[in-house]
Amino acid sequence: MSLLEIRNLRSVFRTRGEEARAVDGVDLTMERGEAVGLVGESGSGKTVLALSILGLLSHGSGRILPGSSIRLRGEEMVGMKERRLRQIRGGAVAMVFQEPMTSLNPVFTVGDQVLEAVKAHRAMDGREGWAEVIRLLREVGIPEPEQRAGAYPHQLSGGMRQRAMIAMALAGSPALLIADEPTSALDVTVQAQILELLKRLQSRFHMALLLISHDVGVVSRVCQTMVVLYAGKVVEKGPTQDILRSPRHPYTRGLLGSRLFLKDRRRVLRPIPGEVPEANAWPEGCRFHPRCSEAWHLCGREEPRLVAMGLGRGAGAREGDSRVVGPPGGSLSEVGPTDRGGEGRSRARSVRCWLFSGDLGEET
Amino acid sequence: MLVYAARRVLAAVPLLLGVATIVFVVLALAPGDPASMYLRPGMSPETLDQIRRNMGLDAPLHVQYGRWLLSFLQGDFGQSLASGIPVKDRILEVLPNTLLLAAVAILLAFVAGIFLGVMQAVRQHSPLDSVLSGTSLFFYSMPSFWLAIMMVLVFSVNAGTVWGWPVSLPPSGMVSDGYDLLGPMARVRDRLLHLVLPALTLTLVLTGGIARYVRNSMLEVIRQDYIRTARAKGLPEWQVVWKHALRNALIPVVTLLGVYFPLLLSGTVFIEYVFAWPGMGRLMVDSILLEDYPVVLAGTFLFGGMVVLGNLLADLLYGVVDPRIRRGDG
Repeated sequence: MSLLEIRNLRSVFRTRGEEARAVDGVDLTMERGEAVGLVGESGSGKTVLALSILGLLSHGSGRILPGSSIRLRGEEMVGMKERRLRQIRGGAVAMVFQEPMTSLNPVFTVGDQVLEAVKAHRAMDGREGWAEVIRLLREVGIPEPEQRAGAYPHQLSGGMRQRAMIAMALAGSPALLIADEPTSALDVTVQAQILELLKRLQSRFHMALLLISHDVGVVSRVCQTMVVLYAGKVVEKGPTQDILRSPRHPYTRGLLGSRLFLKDRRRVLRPIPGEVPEANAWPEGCRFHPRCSEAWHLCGREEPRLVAMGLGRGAGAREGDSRVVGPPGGSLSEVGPTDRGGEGRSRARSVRCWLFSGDLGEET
Repeated sequence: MLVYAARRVLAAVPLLLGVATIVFVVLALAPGDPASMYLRPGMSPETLDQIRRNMGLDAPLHVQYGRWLLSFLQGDFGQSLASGIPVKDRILEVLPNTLLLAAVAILLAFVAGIFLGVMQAVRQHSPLDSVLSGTSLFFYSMPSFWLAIMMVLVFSVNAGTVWGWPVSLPPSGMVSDGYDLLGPMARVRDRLLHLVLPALTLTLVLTGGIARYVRNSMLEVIRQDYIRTARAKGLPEWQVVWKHALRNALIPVVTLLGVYFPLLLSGTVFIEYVFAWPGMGRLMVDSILLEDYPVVLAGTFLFGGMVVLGNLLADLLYGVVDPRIRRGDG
């Protein structure tokens, strides 16, 4: 049984009186101790997906549509009683948010806020609880935790605040830690430290980590598996290294092309034109086609399906498992490539993309 | 924190001096002559001048001001022209009554207002929210004297006789006739019964405003990221609302304390008048009608002082409730 199994998750979010389908039919499987990176631009539905897992959507102004399923260790979380959900939140599943500046309550000390999380999930008296708070703060690398515990959030730097948030998330010994853009609001130097910390904690506690980021570079440093989200749908997923080496979907290629490289200044930056469309106005057919440089006439009408291909890509790929599946109409029947690297890319382009993916979760 | 407090207190001093000056000037400019109170038929102009001289009204205005300020700073508020009693005694006599009424009403209004405001914010746009908003606005915009009269009509006049309710509340005064004859328990009961209507009326007037303020403040706070964090920790909803949200929502509400605090001394003129409550509001109205200047001067200064004090208190409380201000690094 997998740690987390998301099937056909569809979540809507209300903006200006209209319901927008921010997450539209996402499947995602996570194993114990696995680090999965969820990548996409702003507006692609990453945060809504994360909030859906925690059952926090209804507290904003959204909801999960019927027919969706989120199973944590086999236990269905969609439609779960609030009481049980509360045990899971901050317990089995914890979350770290993007803005350490605003995510901590300004009127309580950092120690008190971590203590709350400890007490919510473990039977401890005041003294034990406080000792645990100090231990957690030390664990996340906050120097002089005894003093810092008495500090208010505004007295700490951004990096320290994010460490405190992580300590709070660790309080319930989570099996799954969701980190939603944990470094985006931080200085570059601090970003690396926080990423290292997350990586270290993940392996040390054998925690599963769902790292959400718009930055492919961040994800590639920490996660073995990468999931690319666009307009509420998964467009590509697979081992991070494979995707970096041979991205199959034009959107993924666009994301990779938008990265900046310090080492290679001559490299041309190829940004994706335009922006993610509004969630209540997804385009017909493939949602990426208005921005896609490789779109052809079919893309505006039909949506390519995500198919398993090249299980265990990379060295020793089993070529027989690979295929290209065209639109339901069958207008594309060409057997596709499994070549790695640039060659795969060019071949994919020659058949006007459509989706290729290796879903490791299905295999194991 | 201490530096912050000291700075605030120091800043209040020139403000109070300004208040004293303005009060004096305004009263000096006001029409009417305090000496005219002693005017009798057939009194010669010389006698009237003599009275003016005795009262120090013949001196130039700035000299009068100097004398008044000097004695004022020494705690001497002069004597009431109407009764001859020292102003200080006159005020001290009615102050506890006003304090009692206002303290009870303000306390009740804050408790009820905060509770209702939070309930409304949590259920924004629900029927409960709409009904409470409407009711708040109704009591908030109603003239307090009219509300007071209606309260008397309903709970005092009609309650016992027309509708036959078991209790009809006393409509005026602080105690019944023959209060001195009552036993100790009966005295407490009698005082409490007399307090109900004026306190309730004042509470109704104040609660609406507080509830609206708290509601809006809560709606602002409930959208914040740290509320989501509190939920993500697995805290029960009541703790999220009443601890994490309310604690932050109350920070701006502290301002209201600066607004309502002066009521403790000034009382509410209309409500005290309708309920014949012997408090500051009534004393002031009576004194103004009698042109009893020393009382009016002292009273007005006290009111002004209370406003300054209320704001000072609010400033200091900000420091207590908001740690970001406390450190004085902001």
